[in-house]
Amino acid sequence: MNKIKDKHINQPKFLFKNFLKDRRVYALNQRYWEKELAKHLSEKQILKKNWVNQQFADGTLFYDGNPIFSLLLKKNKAVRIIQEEPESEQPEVGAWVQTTEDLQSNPINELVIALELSDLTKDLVVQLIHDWVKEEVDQTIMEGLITERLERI
Amino acid sequence: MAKSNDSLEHRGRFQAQGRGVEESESWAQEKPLSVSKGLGLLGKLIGKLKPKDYERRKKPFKKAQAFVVEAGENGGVFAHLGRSFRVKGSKDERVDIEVLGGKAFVKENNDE
Repeated sequence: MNKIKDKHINQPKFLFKNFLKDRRVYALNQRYWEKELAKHLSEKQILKKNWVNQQFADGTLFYDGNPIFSLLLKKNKAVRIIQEEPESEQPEVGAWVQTTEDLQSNPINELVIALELSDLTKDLVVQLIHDWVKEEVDQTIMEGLITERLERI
Repeated sequence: MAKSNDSLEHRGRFQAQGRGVEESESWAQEKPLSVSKGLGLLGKLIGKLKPKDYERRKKPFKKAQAFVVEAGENGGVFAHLGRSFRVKGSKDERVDIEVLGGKAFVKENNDE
């Protein structure tokens, strides 16, 4: 009985569950990320919102959450959030840091977070981004913080 | 006058990353990469992986291939593009597509 109860308690409650089926929900979901991150970042830190392309050359939008939101930041840093189809009974989130390039071929260190958005994963995204924007946090330090924070989920 | 995207160098890469795997296939050329060449590079990348590493990334590779084909149906895609297809349940095992300059995944008749 307790097991069933515990399992129920630990199951994620998805946010914007129909974001892949309903474009109005998708737009609200994108706005959610923009507002959520704006609470934790100053305008001074952000060079460009949604700097990663989300549409084909003919203007057709991807509408698949890959990515759902991105930021180009000062100090050659960036953030990309991939929101995956909500389908798991356990909290689903992965994260890594990689080096990419901007259009002028400058190296950019990019924090990528891929998740199923739920009550159990939403705060982790904010925590990771909060860590990443700190000037002293480089790729190596961030990899350690990702491991540490993911273990707590 | 602003340069059009087509006049830029067209470059990018596919990557298989995470859990000790670090393989990639890149391109840099005067004309946009075609769908068939994109799929060819993805095939080459698969060939670089150990069978077990490919098995784990089978779904992400299928999604990456489907995206290249879909892009071809919609005129290709411009830089900066970054898409990652993660192995669900993993921290960072994935297949990445990055278009870092210009345009990629155009249909053959738009290719060199």
